[in-house]
Amino acid sequence: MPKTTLGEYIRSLRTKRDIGVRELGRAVDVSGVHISSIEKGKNAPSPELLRKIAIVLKVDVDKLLSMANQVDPEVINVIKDSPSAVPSFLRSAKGLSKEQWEELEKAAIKMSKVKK
Amino acid sequence: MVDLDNFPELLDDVIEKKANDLMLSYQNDSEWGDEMPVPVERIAQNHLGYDIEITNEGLFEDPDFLGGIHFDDKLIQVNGSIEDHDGRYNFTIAHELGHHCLHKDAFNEMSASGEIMCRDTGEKPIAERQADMFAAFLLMPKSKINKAFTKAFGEDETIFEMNFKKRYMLGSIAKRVIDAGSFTNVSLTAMTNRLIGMGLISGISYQKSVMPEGLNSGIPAYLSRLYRKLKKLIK
Repeated sequence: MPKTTLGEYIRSLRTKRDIGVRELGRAVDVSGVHISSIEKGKNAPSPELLRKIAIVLKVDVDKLLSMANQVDPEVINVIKDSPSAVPSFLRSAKGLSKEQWEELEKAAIKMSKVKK
Repeated sequence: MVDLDNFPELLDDVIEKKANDLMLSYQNDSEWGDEMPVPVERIAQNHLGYDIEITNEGLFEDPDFLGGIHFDDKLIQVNGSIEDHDGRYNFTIAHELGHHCLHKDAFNEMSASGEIMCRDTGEKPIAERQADMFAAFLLMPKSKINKAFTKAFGEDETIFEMNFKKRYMLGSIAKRVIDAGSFTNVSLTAMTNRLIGMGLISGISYQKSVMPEGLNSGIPAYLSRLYRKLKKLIK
């Protein structure tokens, strides 16, 4: 089965949510032409635009970003803030399972709360 | 290439019934009552399964190509140049739905390409005129127009007798019916032509374009604006 593209995914979500192409454009401050070209895979949306689209379509922005082969600018800033620690951590966590990642996330949330 | 003039004549009543049938089937399939405006984009997308693409590419670099329908790909294309004109945008989608309801079967028998590209120039071929009529019936159902007309102009059977000199009134008559009936996705021109078609405005033929209310006074609005600008510059 062929992999769903970002454009197809956005279009299917938009249809499911009963939102027109022009309506989505207006909701995220771009033209319907721009939304159509994204849905047809002719244009790559910026991370900022994907974030707005994710809010309107009520979908996880990281999923859209990953389909667009992009990384959330916020994540890029985290890496920039710790240019050695983050890549090193990610390399060592490479083989972790989904459950272990969830554990790690919980631990990180706990640690950041303690820090505050 | 299919000759769009090579389609059988259809009675207005037949076209109107097809438009009403589409509305009814959408009503049964959705939560839409029958309140205006008629959500043609949703009918195309959610009810008939067409994808809508707004584009300026290819044929649509030419602003005369307002829309197109691809039956096999289930795609309706709309020219990006009319995206911000609610009336023209919705009329174009309704027009393409007209091709779906009136011409799809006949068209598929005649053509291998399965698409109709619609151009807004000169004398229109028969299939285009029929799709225009379908769009008018779909966006402005007769019963709703009658109701709005009565709300706007009273119970007595008002018919506006027009002539060329009174032409400036058309925009304001259409606007009052649009407001009274919440036909918010319909242009002044489309409404004027519907009223002419229903005999509620007489003595004048179908209009290519109708001026908005601002242009109804003695001095057209754009001339007033130009005059104000010039005055400012001179100062």
